[in-house]
Amino acid sequence: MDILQIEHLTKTYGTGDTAVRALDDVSFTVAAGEFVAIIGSSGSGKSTLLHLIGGVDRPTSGTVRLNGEDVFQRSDEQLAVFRRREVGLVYQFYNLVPVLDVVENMCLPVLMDGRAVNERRLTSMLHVLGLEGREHHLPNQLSGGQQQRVAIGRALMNAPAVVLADEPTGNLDSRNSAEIMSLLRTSNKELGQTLIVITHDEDIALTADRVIALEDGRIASDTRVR
Amino acid sequence: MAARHLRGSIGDRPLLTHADDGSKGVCPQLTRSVFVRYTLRSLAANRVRTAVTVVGIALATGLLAAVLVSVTSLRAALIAQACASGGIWQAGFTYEDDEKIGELRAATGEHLDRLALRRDLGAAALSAESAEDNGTYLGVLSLPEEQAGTARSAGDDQYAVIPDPTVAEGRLPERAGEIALPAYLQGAELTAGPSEIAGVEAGAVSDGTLELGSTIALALGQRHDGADPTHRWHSGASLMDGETLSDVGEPRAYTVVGFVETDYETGSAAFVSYDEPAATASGEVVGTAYFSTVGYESAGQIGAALTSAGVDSWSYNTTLLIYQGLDRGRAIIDSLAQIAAVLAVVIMVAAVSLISGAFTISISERTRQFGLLSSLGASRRQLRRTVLAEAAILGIVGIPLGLALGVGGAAVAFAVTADGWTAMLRETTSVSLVVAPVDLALAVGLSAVTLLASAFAPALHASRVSAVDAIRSSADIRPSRRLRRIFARRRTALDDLSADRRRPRGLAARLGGMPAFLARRTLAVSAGKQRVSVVALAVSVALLVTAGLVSDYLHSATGYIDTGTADLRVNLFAETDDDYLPTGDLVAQANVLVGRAEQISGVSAASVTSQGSVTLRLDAAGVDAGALETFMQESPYGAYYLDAAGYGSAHLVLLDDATWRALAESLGLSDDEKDPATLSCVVLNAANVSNSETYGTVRPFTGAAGTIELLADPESKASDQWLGPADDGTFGLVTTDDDTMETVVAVPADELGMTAVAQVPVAAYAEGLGDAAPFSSDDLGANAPNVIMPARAVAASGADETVRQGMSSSTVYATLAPGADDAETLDALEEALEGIEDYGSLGTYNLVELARQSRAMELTVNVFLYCFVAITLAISVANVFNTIASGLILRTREFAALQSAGMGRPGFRRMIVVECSDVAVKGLVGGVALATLINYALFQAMSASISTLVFEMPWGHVALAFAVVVAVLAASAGYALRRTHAMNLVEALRSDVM
Ligand SMILES: Nc1ncnc2c1ncn2[C@@H]1O[C@H](COP(=O)(O)OP(=O)(O)OP(=O)(O)O)[C@@H](O)[C@H]1O
Ligand SMILES: [Mg+2]
Repeated sequence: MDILQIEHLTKTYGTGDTAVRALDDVSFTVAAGEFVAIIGSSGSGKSTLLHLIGGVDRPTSGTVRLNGEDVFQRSDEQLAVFRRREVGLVYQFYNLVPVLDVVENMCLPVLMDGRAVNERRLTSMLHVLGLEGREHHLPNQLSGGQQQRVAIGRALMNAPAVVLADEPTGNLDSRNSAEIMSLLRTSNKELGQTLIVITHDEDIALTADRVIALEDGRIASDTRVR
Repeated sequence: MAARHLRGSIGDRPLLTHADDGSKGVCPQLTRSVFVRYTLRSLAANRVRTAVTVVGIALATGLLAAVLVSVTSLRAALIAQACASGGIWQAGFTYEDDEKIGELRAATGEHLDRLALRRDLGAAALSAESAEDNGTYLGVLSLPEEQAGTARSAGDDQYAVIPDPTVAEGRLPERAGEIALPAYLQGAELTAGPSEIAGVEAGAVSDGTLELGSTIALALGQRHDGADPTHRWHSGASLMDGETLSDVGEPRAYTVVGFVETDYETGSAAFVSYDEPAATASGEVVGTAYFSTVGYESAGQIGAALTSAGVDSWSYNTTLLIYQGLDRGRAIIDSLAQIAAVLAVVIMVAAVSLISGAFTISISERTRQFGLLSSLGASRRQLRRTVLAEAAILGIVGIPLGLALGVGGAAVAFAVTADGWTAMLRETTSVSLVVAPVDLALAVGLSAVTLLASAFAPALHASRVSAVDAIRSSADIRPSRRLRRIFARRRTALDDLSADRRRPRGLAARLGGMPAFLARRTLAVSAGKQRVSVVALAVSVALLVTAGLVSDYLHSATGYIDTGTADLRVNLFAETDDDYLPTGDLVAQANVLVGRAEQISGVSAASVTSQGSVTLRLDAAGVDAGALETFMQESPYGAYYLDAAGYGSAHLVLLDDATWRALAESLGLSDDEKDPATLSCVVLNAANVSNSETYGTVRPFTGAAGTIELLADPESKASDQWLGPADDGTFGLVTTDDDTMETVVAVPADELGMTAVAQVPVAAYAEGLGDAAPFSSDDLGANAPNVIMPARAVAASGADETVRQGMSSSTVYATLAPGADDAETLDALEEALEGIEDYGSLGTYNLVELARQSRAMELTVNVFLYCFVAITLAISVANVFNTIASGLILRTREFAALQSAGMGRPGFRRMIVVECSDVAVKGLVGGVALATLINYALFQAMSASISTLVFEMPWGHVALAFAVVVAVLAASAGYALRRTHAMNLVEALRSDVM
């Protein structure tokens, strides 16, 4: 069953002479529970694609369907709800709200939704993420790896159907990098969450089920690894 | 490691499941108010800016509250004073038929508040003999009696509808047959005999001198016009032309139980109780009704009700109506209201600028945070609410603080200035603080609106932040249109550099090197943020200029109080009526007065002036005809005593030697002119054209005439002719035209053959007499040229006789000896100066007391003025500091990056100076524009009451304001830089502010 259907997705930045076609007629589908790695040279449109899937930006044309439902048919308000409930996003940099502590950052999507935080889930998540004892630290009191783990915790807190990560290990050392990836992969395997990761790291890409390579905003190759 | 934990935990804990979280265990501290928490943290994270914003809100609220509370308190004091002295009646009318009262009740209905009636029982004529000291008539009025049964008669009765007369001795009459007489009759004896009215015998006769317990017999009749008996006069009114008394009843005896002060409203009247039976032959009594109303919005509506009640003439209690806001008062009051309105607008604009500046910065600082929140699923509404919540939190702290500040400040200000208000209100009542809930609500409401208006645009901005831009690591800066234009011009990679590839291109870089280039680039990139600073600066400059302007205007309004340099003053008037002091020598006469004054132990020095009038002529070129025209139109006196041809009549002031020398010294005259034996004069070149509505001064002389001629009056004039200006302003021998009742020239001045008795060189045309003269402006003529001369020179000249014939009074000015009591010394002085030959009545003035009062008034004005200036200054400082300091602190990371790239302190400083100067210049331009607008609005408000005001830009204030603002700017930038430098580089690079 395909959880994600992407059809003729195009995104153009700017107009006239300076127009940049960041994504050019991209179509593919992702099955539920699949782990997809997206690779490509810098500027090839990876982040743009992820933002569109995550409902952070709107495409110039084309559609994204999640569970058969067109994401961009939603109004801005509905799209906000979509972001906080249906997807979990992790970025390379600047993931956390600086004035909120670890717990608050992790619970942010739940709280914005006006729902109650499951305390047991939070406690075990903190444990799993190795953030025990750091609950009330502010982001600038954490290392880069710890910050990234908080961001992952936030993405998973809502148990979303799709987790999207844009170079989540981009500025981490190999040990931290491996930990983060195994966290993501475990949630993918154990819970059947769909995982889409952008990466420059070949090793990471090779652990995925499928690797999509982008070039100049088009899909250059789409390889099933296993 | 983490993965192991994860795997291990899945079996026994529902860790990563889709199961809904439900209500199982809620972090107690994590409630739904995550946005409120976020807001609070953000506020705490930038304590300085939060504090400055709260202070700004508090200052704005405080200033508004203080203005409102002060206005209400003053109004309440004025109303209380008016009610205490004149009663609460708003309109009154006379009636002969009691049914009129029923009609009034019907016409006013629910609006009628309180009603009091007074009965006019008639007047008794005094014998011609008694009338000499006590007036032709004695009117008899009843005491007013309040009527029950009006809509609100049970309401507030702190003040009478119309007050009873003030008792001087004894008591007021309580029953029929008792009477309280005007105080001037105490000790008098009213005799029988013919009265001053043809054919009427005296109807007021006492049994001996009038004291408490005496009996007085009164035969009361009605006063009316001789030709028209229906045209009646009020019994207490002064004698009218052609009036007579009729309907005189039988004499009745009354027992004198008291003596009362007379007042303007009732005139020379005695009072009996309200139920005293009528005593005229016909038994007719005229009633007067006084009433107050509620719910009418203007005096006109009260008048309309009266008209519909069939009343055709009535009078208003105008003073009270003006204070109650029911009557449009004089332009001066309108003008004050307009000034207050302009100030309120200025305060609001300043507050909006300050608060919205703080918000704009606070939001732009967090653009990325808002973007991140948005990408995590915060809806626009949530983001907007976050900003509004921030405003609400700041308001909840700032507004009550401001209320306390404003009300407390006003209370302190009124306490400090109690004396001044007492002096200004001319009553012993002082102004007490009235804190009306309406005012507080208004202040809170206006502040809340200001706050909302200030937060609205930033809130909208925050909700529109692009999530993608915020997430992209390069999204620190959104290129402005200006920057895009700069880039659009670039062709090659090295286009940005100069030809020698050593520095960036452009004028700024050529002049200031890399730092200046960076500054220009920053300004181009962050045009929006810079605009906030420019607006803050402009508003601050304008605000300070306004404070200066208000100060000028207020000082010009209080500047009229001028008591001269002397402590005590006694005026001695000529004994005979024909303006003539016949005593021989002017100098010897003055010496006598000085001698007498200086004998008194409390007097350390005395001087004498004599004043009168003299006819003069000067060259027509020396007269400003336009100024004379303005005078004729604006002043209440009609024509000035000088015409365009140069003929006129001067108010002449003769000075003793010492006074002349002091005046000559202060005006910088030559040694020769300072000599009191040299014939010369000082002409006061200022004429006050203030009237009941407007203030103003004109300058009647051009200064072109070097001498003035004193002229002897014509030998013969008819009894109905006099020297003066005709209605058209021409000076000559004038008379009243019997047909038109206008004053017209009978013989033109140049045909009168008046001979010149002296040619007097004009030593100076002075615009004011300064502090050297003992006399004050009210010793001078209001509608005639004022000419000041040394008495010694005049006495020795050919003009001696002419001048002496015109003299009408002398004035002795005394300076108090140290430690002497002013009131006692004035009594002694009065006694010493009594009974001098040729002088009649005396008038005494305690100038020390007047000066004390005027100082108290000045203090009052200054206290309020400086409060305004201080708060204005505080708002300006907060405004500039907020935008400049926050703007720089926001760039901590950028500065750190520059430093880590090797930029040194001096270069850094140069960069900041270039940026700040750019902001300062733009701020000045905007500030001047804004100040011009405000000045124009104030000018419009003021010119409603000052007719001769000229629109001028106060460049001095502008310069001062700009200097203050630049100083604050420099201090703010210095503070911000010290703070950014204090952070170590690593910390700064990691810092979360963009
Ligand atoms: N807001 C924007 N305005 C203009 N152009 C943009 C914008 N965002 C992205 N682009 C352009 O779109 C193209 C794709 O950008 P994108 O960020 O998706 O690349 P990427 O594959 O994620 O690169 P990297 O690996 O470096 O992160 C680039 O050429 C970029 O310059
Ligand atoms: Mg990218």
